[in-house]
Amino acid sequence: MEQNDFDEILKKKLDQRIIEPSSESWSRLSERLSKKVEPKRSKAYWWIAAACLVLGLFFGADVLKSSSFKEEKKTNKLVNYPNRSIELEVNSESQISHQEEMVVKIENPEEIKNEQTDLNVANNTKVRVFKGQERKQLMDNQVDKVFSENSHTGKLSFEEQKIQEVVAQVRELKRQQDTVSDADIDALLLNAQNAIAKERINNELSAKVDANALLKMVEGELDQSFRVKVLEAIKESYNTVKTAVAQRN
Amino acid sequence: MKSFLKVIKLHKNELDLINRATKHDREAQRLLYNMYAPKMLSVCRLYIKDLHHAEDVMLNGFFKVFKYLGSYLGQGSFEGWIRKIMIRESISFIRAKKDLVFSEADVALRQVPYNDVFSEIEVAEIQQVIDELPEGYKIVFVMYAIEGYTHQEIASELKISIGTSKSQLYKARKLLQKELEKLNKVNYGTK
Repeated sequence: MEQNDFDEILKKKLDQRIIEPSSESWSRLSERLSKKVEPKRSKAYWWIAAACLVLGLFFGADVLKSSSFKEEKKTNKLVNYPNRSIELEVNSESQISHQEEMVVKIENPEEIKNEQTDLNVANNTKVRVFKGQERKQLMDNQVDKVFSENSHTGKLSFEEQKIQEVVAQVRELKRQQDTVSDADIDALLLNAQNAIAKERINNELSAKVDANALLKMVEGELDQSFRVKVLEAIKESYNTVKTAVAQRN
Repeated sequence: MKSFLKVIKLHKNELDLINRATKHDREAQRLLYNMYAPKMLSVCRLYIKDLHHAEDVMLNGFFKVFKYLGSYLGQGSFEGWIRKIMIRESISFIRAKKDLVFSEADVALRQVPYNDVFSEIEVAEIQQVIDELPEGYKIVFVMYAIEGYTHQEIASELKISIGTSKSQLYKARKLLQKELEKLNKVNYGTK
């Protein structure tokens, strides 16, 4: 028998053979396939859950960050830092909302040369530290502001008030009588001078009694500087009135 | 013409079943299993003497078929793809049992027992003779003569030299021929 023929005969016979598996074979395989698929699905769920968790953390952190930033804007306030002799000072509410940061005045700036980070962490607040020229400018502005406020609401000195009163009385006399005599002016000045002297004595009595002042009051000496000021004021007022009359004519 | 159309329809059905089975459609998997399991159990039985073990190996093979069905690209016959998986699974089973020895010495076959249903199962007789071959002879013979592997492919698959594959085949043939001739004589003698 040739080798190829032998192989062919065997192949042909064996290829035609079929062997039916046992009746439960499919159920066994099906059970194994079910076990195989389920873990795969659960694994996929785990991956999806993990991905969601990561995304949630990212978004959460982002939201937290933005909300804390908003909070930071809202919570700008006066902060004391006594242990390091640092005073944090807020100019005004509107200033905070515009600048979105705190203005810090430092008494001993050299103590916190590199501690801006520490301030941020400690107070959870954005802090701007002013030093040197910047600080000086800030202080100047504050001082300017204080003085500008005093100029609007401040009081005139007693002497200035009296000058204004004398000028007003002279104007009134001019309006009523057209001409004002030297005697009238002297009388007005004398009254004003006495009032000023009394005021000075009162001020001085509140502190201590001065014998010289008492003597001056008795003698009724006029203060030369006051007299000059009143005369200048009257002259200025007279020129104004004269110009106004000329323009009317 | 009619039969030709039927063949095309069958092929389309098979592709459809494969696609569905790839998506874990259990019914499609069952249909494919029913279609190929008898043939594949026969293949496994060629290598594995015990039918129950052969069936276990076949089930392992089908498990891998359905698990890696997505890697079947439709190139070549689906049956050929499953068949190769079954052969590998069978060889793995024999290797795991440490029964796979490629002996260079001549081995005498034991006397093949004859049974009462001899006339009906000629193939079964052949199988019995094959079963009595040493594992090395048997595997190389089945792979070469029945499955159509080349010596190079066998050498690569079994991690042996081509010369070993050729010698194993030669000795397997000699033993089989000897035993089958004996069977023929007995058969003619009975008739």
